[in-house]
Amino acid sequence: MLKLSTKGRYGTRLMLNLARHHAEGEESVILRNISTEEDISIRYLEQIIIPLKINNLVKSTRGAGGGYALNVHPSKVKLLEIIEILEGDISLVDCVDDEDCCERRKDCSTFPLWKEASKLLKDYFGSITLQQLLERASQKQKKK
Amino acid sequence: MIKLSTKGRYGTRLMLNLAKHYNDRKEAIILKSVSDEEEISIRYLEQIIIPLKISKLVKSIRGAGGGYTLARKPAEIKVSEILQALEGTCCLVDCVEDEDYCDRVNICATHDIWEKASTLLHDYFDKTTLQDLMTQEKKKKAKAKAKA
Repeated sequence: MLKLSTKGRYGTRLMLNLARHHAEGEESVILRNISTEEDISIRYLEQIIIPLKINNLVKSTRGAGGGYALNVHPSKVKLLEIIEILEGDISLVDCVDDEDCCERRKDCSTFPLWKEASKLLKDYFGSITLQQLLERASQKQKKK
Repeated sequence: MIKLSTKGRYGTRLMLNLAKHYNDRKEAIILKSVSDEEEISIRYLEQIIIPLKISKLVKSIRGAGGGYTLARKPAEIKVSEILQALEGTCCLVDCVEDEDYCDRVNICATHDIWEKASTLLHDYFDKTTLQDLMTQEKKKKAKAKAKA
């Protein structure tokens, strides 16, 4: 089964939420608000925000009025970065990135298939910025 | 992590192996020989050939000279069909195939992204047939030969 995990899905929504608050001029957001708005438990948000912080996509501010905020402009963050931070490499098979994974790789006729499919996915996620996702989100809201 | 399981990967190689023999002699192949050629255990092949048979992608022939063969020409079998039989759908998230899975679908901007990515994958596997894979392989081998 080819599935994105909750980490990747919820993490993207977390980042989109921060981007929305950023666009509305708010300096930082507490996880409780995100939790309420996105229907994701605070515990889970606390967990998935760590790798995003380590990779400098979000920053935290302490004290009153503190919370989390994007550390980069939404137009500078690609979805691929967010997904790879949370999911690890998104190649469909291990042999695409790890040459030593299988000694049949050179002669394998299915290898180019998986490699190309993985590239399609990466190129797609690499072509969309958080800013573009935010714009789509507000268009979708309006339609509703 | 989004990964194809061994089922999908080995199943595609099994099908490709049958496709090669199909073009060569149109004879049934015993799993023992697929196992030797592909270095996949017979037990595993026996397991993954069942859904392929149920999905009518392979057929079995009994008796002496019996074994397995493709149910259709390699040009008429798409990779998407093989993966569908072995992995289920290509949807990266459950909400793409099941609208009732989540009540935020109507307002969720990420849903559209996962949907588009799933479609990209599905379309790619849907336009690739076993015959295409064999043709690619031939080209690759010819190139390697020319280099050497």
